[in-house]
Amino acid sequence: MSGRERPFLGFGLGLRPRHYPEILGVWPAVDWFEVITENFLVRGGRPRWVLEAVRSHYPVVLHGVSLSIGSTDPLDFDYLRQVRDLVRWVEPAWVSDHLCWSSVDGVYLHDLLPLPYTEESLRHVCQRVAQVQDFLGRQIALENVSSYVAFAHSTMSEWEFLRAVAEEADCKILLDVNNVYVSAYNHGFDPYQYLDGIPRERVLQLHLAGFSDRGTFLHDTHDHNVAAPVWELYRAAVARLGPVSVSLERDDRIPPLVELLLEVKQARTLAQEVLGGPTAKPRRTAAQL
Amino acid sequence: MARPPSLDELQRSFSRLMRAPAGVAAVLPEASPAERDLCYEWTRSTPSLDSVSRLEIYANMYFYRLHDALADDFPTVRAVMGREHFHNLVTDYLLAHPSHHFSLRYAGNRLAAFLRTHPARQRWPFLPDLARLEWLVLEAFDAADAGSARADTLLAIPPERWGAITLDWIPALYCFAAAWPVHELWQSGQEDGPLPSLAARPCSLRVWRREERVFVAEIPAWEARLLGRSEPFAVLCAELAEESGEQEAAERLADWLARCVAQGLVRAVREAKCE
Repeated sequence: MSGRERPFLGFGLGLRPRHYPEILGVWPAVDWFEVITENFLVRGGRPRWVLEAVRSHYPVVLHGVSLSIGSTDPLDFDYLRQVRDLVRWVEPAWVSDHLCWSSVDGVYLHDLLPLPYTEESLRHVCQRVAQVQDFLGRQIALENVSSYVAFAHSTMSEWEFLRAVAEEADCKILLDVNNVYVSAYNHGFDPYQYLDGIPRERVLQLHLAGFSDRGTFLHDTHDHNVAAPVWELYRAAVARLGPVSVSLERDDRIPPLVELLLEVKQARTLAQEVLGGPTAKPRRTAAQL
Repeated sequence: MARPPSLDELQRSFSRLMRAPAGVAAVLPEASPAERDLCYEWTRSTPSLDSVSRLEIYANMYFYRLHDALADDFPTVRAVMGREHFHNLVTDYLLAHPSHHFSLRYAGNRLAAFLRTHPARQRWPFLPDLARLEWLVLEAFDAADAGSARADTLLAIPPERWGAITLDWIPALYCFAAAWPVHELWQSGQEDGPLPSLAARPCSLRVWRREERVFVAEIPAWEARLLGRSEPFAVLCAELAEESGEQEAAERLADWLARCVAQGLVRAVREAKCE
């Protein structure tokens, strides 16, 4: 995958252990699965058996949480080697992680922490993206994170920074619509202006998820259904971007699979309404991608 | 106004603030100038949410994400201690051993050792053994896959050649010596039953995975000594004969080997070639 190519996988779902029995039992009607990379960087056992079964039935995308692309620590090449081995085995349609930092001084904070949007950060991230893409031998997609902190010395907006990273490092964008909404609320910017600032041809995938309203801020908890204003923002994103692969994320208070499949269906229906035609994809195996 | 922090300075200050055990507001009076500047000068406040509260969100998420991961990985330790004591244990543990692995899966890799010197041990002296057991259950869960030797492999080897047999063990097999029968607690936790009270009793525990399930069993001390060994069978037999005599040792080992194969603990039975 390179340049302006944008494969369309359809409407997918994050693969979570709670749903393993249902998925392996009935092979639900979902176009593809997004799997958390780190959950499968293990030596063996059930996680890898499940992934082997899932990838033989559905296209799969690897979505990491530990790349820590913005950290000032050296890149963790032990981690990257494991990711590269997993990529060779799974043959995912693409590989993504987050535009953030997660570790410093060798301590992993296990969070997706915001960067200051400065020239220093931009140079640092772009140089590391190039290293990662060289090492993996493929482009990666970076996702915008939700945030609760913004830095006074930032010299550009988040969407300007995201755009600059994607264009200067020649990587793709995983645009999390929920995160745009959450951060817009928390920092007081216009989420639609954010969408307008994203280069259409760089967006490989959209994320949808739910948040919790804490009164003074929105918390990106991934433990609720997608909220109405996020669906509205999603419609606007589809209108701007055209057909783009979408996946639903749920990480806590995970409901039965059927409930999440209804939300996947809603994502499909809204996209069809916006684009004026069916967007369903015939199911393909990973090998056919 | 101070100069803006470099990216490296920002990340170090942010990390220290979000890992402060009592929270950001509590640590700020003793924080470094760089940490205070990050909070008061370089983190934006809004009328509805000031910079301290914003950083506090990350501090809370840091603690509870690791707390919840450890609670998932050490459910029996948590059940024994109760919510409040476990919370305090995690606070102490993270101060001593912040995560140095990219995966949360390994956040608890030093908890058993940490408990050996933690005050909680005075009330629950078996906690280090229990944490060790729960860690090995995790290790077995995602240890490397391996096939198992079939029983007929053994049967095909004439008894007179058993002395030259060596064993390859499956990777998902662990054994440790406990001072307390903590497997009884673990088993009750698995069955959602009431937790039994324990009396100190040295025991050898075996942890292994067969297909997707992880099992724990108490085994005799002599079995624990032999488990995982790769010397020829004759060597193991001679060692056992020192305490039980040759005939009994041979019989016990033959029975033990058949059980190990039947339980899927042996990956391959090899027969050393005679020169």
